[in-house]
Amino acid sequence: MINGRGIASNPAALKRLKRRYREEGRFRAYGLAAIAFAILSLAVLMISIIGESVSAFTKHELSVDVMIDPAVVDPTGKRDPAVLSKNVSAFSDLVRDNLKHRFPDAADDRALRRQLNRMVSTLAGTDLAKRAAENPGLIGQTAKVAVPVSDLIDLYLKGLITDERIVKGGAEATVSRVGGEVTVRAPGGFAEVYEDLADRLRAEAKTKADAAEVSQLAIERTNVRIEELSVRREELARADAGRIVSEAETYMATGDERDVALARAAGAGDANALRTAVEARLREDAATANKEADELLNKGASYSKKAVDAEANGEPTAETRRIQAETAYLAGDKRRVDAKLLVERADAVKATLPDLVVSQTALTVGRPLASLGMLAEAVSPQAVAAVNLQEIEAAKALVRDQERRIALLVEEVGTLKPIAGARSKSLEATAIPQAQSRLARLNRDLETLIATSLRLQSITTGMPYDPAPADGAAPDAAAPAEPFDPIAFVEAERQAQLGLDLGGPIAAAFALGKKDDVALKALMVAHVDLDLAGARRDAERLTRKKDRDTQLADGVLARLSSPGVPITPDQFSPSLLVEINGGVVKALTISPDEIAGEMLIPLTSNSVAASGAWQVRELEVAEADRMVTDRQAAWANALSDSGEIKSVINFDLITKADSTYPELAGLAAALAGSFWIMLVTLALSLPIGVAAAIYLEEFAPRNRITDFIEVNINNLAAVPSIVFGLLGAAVFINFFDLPRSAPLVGGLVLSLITLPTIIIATRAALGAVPPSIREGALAVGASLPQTVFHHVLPLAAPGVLTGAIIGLARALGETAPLLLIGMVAFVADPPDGPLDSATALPVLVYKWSSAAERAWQPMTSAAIVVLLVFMFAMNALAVYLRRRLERRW
Amino acid sequence: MFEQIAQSRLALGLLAALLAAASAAFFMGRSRAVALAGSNPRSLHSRPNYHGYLVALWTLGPSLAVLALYSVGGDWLADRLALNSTPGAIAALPSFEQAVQIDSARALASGGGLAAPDGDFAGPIRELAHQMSIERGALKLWATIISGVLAIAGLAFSMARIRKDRRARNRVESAIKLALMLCSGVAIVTTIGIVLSLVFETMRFFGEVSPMEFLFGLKWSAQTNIRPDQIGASGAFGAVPLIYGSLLITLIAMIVAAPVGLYAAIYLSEYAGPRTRRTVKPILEVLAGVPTVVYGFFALLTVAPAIRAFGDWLNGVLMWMMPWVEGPIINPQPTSALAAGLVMGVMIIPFVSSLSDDVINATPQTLRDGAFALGATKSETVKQVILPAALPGVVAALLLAVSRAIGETMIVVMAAGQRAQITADPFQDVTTITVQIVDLLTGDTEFDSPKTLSAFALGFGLFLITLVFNLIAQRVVKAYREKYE
Repeated sequence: MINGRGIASNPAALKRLKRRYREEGRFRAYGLAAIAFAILSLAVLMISIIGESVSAFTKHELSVDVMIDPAVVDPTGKRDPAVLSKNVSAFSDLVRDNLKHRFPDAADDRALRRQLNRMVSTLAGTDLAKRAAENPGLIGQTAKVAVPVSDLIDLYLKGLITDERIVKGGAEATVSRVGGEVTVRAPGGFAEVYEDLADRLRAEAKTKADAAEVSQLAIERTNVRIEELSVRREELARADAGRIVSEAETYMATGDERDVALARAAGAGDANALRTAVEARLREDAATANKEADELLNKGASYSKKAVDAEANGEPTAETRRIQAETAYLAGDKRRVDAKLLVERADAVKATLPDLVVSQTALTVGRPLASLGMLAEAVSPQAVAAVNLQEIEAAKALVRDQERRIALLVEEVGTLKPIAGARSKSLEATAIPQAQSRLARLNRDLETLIATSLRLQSITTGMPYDPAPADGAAPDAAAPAEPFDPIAFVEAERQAQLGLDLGGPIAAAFALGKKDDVALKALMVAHVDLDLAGARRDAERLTRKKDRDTQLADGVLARLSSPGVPITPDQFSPSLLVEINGGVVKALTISPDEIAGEMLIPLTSNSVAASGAWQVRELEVAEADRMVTDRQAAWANALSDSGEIKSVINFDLITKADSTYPELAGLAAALAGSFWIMLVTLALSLPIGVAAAIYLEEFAPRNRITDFIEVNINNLAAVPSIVFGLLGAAVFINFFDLPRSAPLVGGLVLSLITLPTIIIATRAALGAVPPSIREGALAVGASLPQTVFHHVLPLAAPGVLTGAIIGLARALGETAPLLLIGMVAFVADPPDGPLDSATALPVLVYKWSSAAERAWQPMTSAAIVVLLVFMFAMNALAVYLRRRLERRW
Repeated sequence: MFEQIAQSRLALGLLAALLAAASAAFFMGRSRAVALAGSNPRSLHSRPNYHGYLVALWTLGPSLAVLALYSVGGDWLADRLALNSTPGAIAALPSFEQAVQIDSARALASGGGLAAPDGDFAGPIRELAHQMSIERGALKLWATIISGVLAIAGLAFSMARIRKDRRARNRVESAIKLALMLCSGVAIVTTIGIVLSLVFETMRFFGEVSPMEFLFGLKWSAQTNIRPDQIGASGAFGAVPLIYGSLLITLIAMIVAAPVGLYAAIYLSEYAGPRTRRTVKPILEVLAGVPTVVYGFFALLTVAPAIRAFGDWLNGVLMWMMPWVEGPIINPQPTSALAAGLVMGVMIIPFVSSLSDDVINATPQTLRDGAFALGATKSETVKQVILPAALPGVVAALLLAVSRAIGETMIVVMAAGQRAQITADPFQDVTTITVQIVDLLTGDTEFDSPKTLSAFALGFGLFLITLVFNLIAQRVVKAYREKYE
């Protein structure tokens, strides 16, 4: 610097300086990028939600003149307003009949009639019914009403179902026939839509070709798998007993532990051990059943307690509770009977000769093995017959069981009668008939089995077959013969697959227990065989699919190679509707000069239509992919062209309550619910919060207790709101038994959430009042409370108010705690007071957002917009108050 | 006669009468004081109004306390008394049956028993209900009489004690102070309420499911909406997948919110001019004020589909790069941890930025000046001087943000999914603690199954986690403030 050059000219220093400045710029850019990101996120959020909501602020209504036919709406002729206003469906029918007169060609066909009925809302007659109930003089006269169109038609007319393109007819068009099949001829007039369609078909062909390629890849992969499985099969077939046993043991372990243990014991033929095990298992099951019965009966008791409470409070849930209680009691009593049956069975097993137990167990566990045998022998009739005999035995056992169960049920009814009449009645009326009908079914099954068995026996006479289940898996199972009956083979394979899925591990355990190496090997090989068969089937299926795709693609491309050839739109193509001479024709075949198709709306004349007097409407989404049919679209367009369907501002959004139909739903009930909740919240949290803040800021001595309170308040401000919801559910609902979904409970919970905010804001406001004010008041002899209430608090009021409004705005948006105290219930009417069932605006947003129909999406967005408007209004009010009233000291 | 009393609105009438009496008492006390003072108002220790307030307080306080006690526990006590003579038919029942019949009797006694009592017990129930009505009527009458007498006694007592030198103001002011103190105790009561209710239900839950399974189990399947006659669906209660889900989403959120919030705060406090600050800060506040259900819908409507499309594209690229891998490498789901995490990150940006802004602003200017004097650029000052100095505060801010993200509910309920799984793939759907709480407690809540109770155990865990984070953060912030003040 001294010599005019200084360190700034040192090249290394300059370089460093440059780097440091670059660094500086980068750092700054990061900061800007962060802010830009935040603002951009907000913008995307707002734009996407507001953009989505726009369509919900208008709706389409159909104006009709309805002759209110007394025979339809009031067959009794009493003109009772209560009956009339309930009879919405009759009024809705009137509206629909009106539509049928408008489009008479649809009235005769059932399918078309259904389409036409769906043009207007299911409850289109609601308003008309209300009007007629208020003014019965209307009945018998003609009334003009505007009914909402159905949600889908509304969406279609708003352009949310499909994109549309209208091509004006560029040539003179002649119509060949009115009614039925119609041909519209306009030389060159269809070239544009034709080319469009052809392009689309070409693209589709390309897709198909791609799909074929993908299939080819999959085929190759499957082939590799087949190769691997074959190798494994070979290995297994050659493997020594040791390897097979170890593999079988792994396989066995995939089964249910207890089943597998039993099967193994059965296989080993250790009769005494098996008997003990079976008995223990039955007793265990019985104990579980008893425990479950206790739980269910307790639950029943708690439900009926709730039913009684609900009834006492006049809540509508009483009936549901009673039904729940009845169901629980019934299930509990039935389960008790199950337990008794299981104990009896256990006793029976204990008393049975051990060998008998072995054979019975073998009967049940042997079934998978037997079905395997069927596969192995490639549907030998003897195998089937053998399995059949087993099935008969098993079915007989089931019938015996069921008979005993009924006896036990009757007994239980007898025991219950003197102590719990209602329960015994419901058991008698429900469970016993059920059990009896099941018995009848079991008996029928048994008869069928016996008949089949006789038939099979006659087939296989002279071909003795050893029915012992374990031998079902014949040694030559490793080499399945060619199927002689493909259908039967598939069926057997399916059964064996089922057997392996359910009982494969059991079969393995049985064979392991029996140390039957041959059967075991057969089992393991068959296991692989099944996988192999599956893989082969996959490969075949994929090949077929590939061939089909390739064929389709080639066919389309070959056909389209010659120009101007007529093409037929398929189910994936856009729909082409020609609107000409007051009617609509749907294109079924199309060439550049001519369209032939079906008439959707009859043409009024056969005359030649001038160029530009007709048009083609192209619905981009294929008919199969949308919920509005071409015909409905044509009707909707005709009605809105004639001015019968009009777009109006959707005031229902504010004036109506929730509904199951989006076109009729509104926010009124939720707004009222939120209002009551806010009222309770304000009434509780403002006085308590301000009082607490005054105490802490002005009166409290500095000690451990006040410190603890402070930590508490700061912590409560950061506790997740859902925890407050849990508190509300446990304390207000469960302990104090306040009604669920009542604004009072919601307000209580939200005021606890808001309290810390208000306390902190009030303390800040009190702290901002300069000490000179206090000192002045104290100096003229005011007591401390007088100072606070007469001087400090009025000066702090703007800050307190601002804090309260901001806290309330936050509470207005809270959702999770309200969900936990049951405010999600469907509420059809605005609540009348803080104890009425209600829902809140954010909860409604949550509910609507999870509804499936497309029309709920704009409705949800609209509800959010309303919610945000309220919140911003509150925040703006707070800002305004702060600006207006705040004093700087 | 007692039965009619039981049905009457006697207590409500008394309440109105008491309020009227209190205002009358105020004027009586006041005029008495004025009369005592005569022509020399300064001879009174307290101004006449305070004498009036004191008399009103004496009139209202004790009798209101009696009424409050009665309205909380009166019916319960009466029913208890009536149960001493439970009819034999009911007394012979097993306990849970008995409770049901007693409840119907109670409902009948309350006058809301619209349903005719169960046929078998109609007689005994009526008898019991009758007994209950009689006891309730008697108790109500007693409560009314006692509180009336107390009001009159209070009035007489305090009127008699009005004297010139009576320290009425001091008495009234201590009463006010007491009321204020009680109000500030609400915060403690709330905390105690939260802890007690959560602990109580959690203990019940651990009575049925072992804590080891809950804390270390890897499988969660506590289905809601189990039909009462469904057998054996006892569910699995391993909370690890839920905790993992919560942490995964919190991590994604913090990856978004921490750098963005921190850089925004640094820019706003160190670089931006006052005008930029005035416009940007309210916008960030708007971001903080948007209800979470709106963020949830935004995630569902806009972000999740975009994430899914991105995931599909990414999968295509990865498959192309690694042709030897079979099947999809990442498998994007309609709802995903990434979508929920990103939106949650946006939600907590203002949280991080405003807290960090506070701590950065709280660092003394002398630190900056010192750094500038040494020739440091702004970014060097921030990175090497301000941030190290503000580090504890920034860490505390991030802790608070994490605690907020873990406890956030609606975004994850709407956009994270329901599948309890442990996966590193953020395109998969995961479930969180809060999602399961909502899932388990929405709709019909029964307080007697492990499914419901598990929600409280989860809530307790959530409360503890956030409590620890909050306490640490508060302590750090406090120490930090004190350091620079």
